[in-house]
Amino acid sequence: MIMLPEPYPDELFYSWMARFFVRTGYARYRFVAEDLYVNPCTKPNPEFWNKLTDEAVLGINRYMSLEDVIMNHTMFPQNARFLPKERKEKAYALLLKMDKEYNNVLYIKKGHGAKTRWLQYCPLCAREDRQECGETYWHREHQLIGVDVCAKHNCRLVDSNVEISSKPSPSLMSAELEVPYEGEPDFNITELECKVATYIVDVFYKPIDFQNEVDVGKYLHSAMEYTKYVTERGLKRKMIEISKDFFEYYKELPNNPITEQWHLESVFLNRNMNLYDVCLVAFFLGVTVQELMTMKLPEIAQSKMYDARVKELHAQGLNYRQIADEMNTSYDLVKLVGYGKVK
Amino acid sequence: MYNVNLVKELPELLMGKELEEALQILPEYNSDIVNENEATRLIALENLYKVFIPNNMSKEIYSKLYLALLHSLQKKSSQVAIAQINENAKAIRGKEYSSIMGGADAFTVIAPSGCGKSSCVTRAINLIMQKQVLEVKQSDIKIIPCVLVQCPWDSSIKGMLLEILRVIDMHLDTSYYTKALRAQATIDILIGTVSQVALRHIGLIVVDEIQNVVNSKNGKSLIGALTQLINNAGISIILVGTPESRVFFEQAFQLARRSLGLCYDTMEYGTEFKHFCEMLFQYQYVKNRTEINEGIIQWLYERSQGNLSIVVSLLHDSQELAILNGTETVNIEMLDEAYRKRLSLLHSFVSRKKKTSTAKIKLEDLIPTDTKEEEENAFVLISSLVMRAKNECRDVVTFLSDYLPVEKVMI
Repeated sequence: MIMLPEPYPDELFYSWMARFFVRTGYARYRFVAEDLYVNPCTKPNPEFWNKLTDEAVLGINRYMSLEDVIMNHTMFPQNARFLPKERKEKAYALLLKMDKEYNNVLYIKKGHGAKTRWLQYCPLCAREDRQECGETYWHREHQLIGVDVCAKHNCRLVDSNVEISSKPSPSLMSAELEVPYEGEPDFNITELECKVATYIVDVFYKPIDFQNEVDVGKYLHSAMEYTKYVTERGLKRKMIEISKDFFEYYKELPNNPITEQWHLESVFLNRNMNLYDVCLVAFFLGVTVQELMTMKLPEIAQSKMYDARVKELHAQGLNYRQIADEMNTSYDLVKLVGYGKVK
Repeated sequence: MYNVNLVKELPELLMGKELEEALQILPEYNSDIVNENEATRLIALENLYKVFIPNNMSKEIYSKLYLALLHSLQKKSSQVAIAQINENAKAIRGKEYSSIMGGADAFTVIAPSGCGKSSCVTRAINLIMQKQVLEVKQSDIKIIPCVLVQCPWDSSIKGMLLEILRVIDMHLDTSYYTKALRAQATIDILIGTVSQVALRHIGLIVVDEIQNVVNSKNGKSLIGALTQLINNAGISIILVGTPESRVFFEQAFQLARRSLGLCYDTMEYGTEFKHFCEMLFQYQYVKNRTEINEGIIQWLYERSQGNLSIVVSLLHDSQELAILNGTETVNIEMLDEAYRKRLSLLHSFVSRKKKTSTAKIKLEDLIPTDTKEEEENAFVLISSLVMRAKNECRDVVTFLSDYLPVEKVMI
């Protein structure tokens, strides 16, 4: 029988199991691995989970369903939030089955693009945990890729010695044994960093909408309608303009991963679904958290409005040049719209 | 574990009459059993060993155990317990650690062998452990209220610690024991493991036969390990043993401090002993029933010196002999035969224990109550009884045997 301790709010699943390991009193990691994992040689995944034994699942079910674990105790909301609908559903199903194929479906940076990461903690959150619960634990919100500021205390997150990669030997490292008691928090944080961190954490905690079929790139493009960042009909992006303002806006943000125009464009092209990158763009464009959650496209796109306006004025008897003057737009474009030669 | 009221999971603390009734075990007895054949009656005779009659010792032991368990559960409900869990984990990993929690209760129950201390402890544990495991829903809290282990004959620390794990596995269907064996851990790590498991799953530990530490070179180490276990697990520990262990605990202050507790001797001749004999004497499986009298009780005390296990053995074996040899009666002759034939190895112990005061028998125990008020002197000489027998024209030996144990010796 496996007696798991009660999970803490926003606790990483890995942390939950690590606290169980501490409580067993087992002298070796192998023994707890035999209790928890179908393959005891498995290396515990700090951000998700590995295939668990039936006893472990029973132990989990005393507190919650596996679905709740995925949503509330893994980094699934980070890696799956902006995936296309089918891919999101597939990733969820694989994760629920504990099929390691989920690694290939979720948006997880690997290889050269991936930097070495460590589990992070906030010294003040750790202090509060110890006062309230008697021990600290790994919080999910401290493990968001790119975010190294605690949204609650506005202090710098600290890297622990627990590496999030396949290199270290298998083990379950509990936060209480890794996070020191001493150490003062670093408040040398800019206002922008705090705002960005708060924004991303808020997005992370929002429920995932599995029914929304709108691609995040398309949505962010629509968020730029009627701004200087798109053409008159709103169909094309002015990437040079966007990049210039974007890099200027975030020049104070340390470790900004988006430093090239192509990287920024990849978000709009739906090739980059990284939560941090998407949120940086959304925040820059002034998209609220709630708007980013619902990702509702405008009922009538800017291009349609433009075309409708041209047709309306034309129906009133204005010629194309007059329409161009009236709408303060390009004559050639008005002509193309009039002749129906645009998308 | 923190912020959960574990104490409310305990059964109520019983006192007075309620406690007596709860502790008492009186197997069913049907007087028609005497009509059954010898085999049936011999098997039924074993019921004598199931009888448990509460006395002051058993009530005190029950109360002390209950309160020790309460203290231990209160400690487990504190935030300090969580911190101690993590300190124990550091110990297991060979890191520096500290004992934050401190021990709960630790005391001894010392009494001579056969006085019923182990029976009282076991009975008290059974009463407290109405639920084999205290569970709190939707949590990992599963606590075995009392774990009873024997002190290993060689005072082996590893043996003791593994035994604790084995008992836990038996109750909770876990695999701590097998994994500890596989780990081939050192004693320090094993203490860490057992501390961790004890902190989470044990209310109190009762270590029986603690006198085994006296004659063993590992004795002090074992007590030291138990002390460490108390401090790292915050549980209560009760050490049960014979008086020879008292000498051991007197050697050092920290040992003596841990061994403050209940000390008992064999039962005095008095109301409790008489009540015990009367209750036990009701269980007769011979065809000819005998009513217990003062003489028999005194004889029993003389031969047992208040050691209850000897009384039980005498009553059992005398009936057994009576059934086997066909005499089918329990009287002083049969009791004496049982004492001579079956308990010969105990004769030297009993005679050593004999108090001189048993030669002086109080007047009120001898003289029937209607003449009690005629006498002022608390003691009487045998010569007075002989004189009385002569005056009443009665056989002296028979007369004396009503008041005194009389031994006939061939000259």
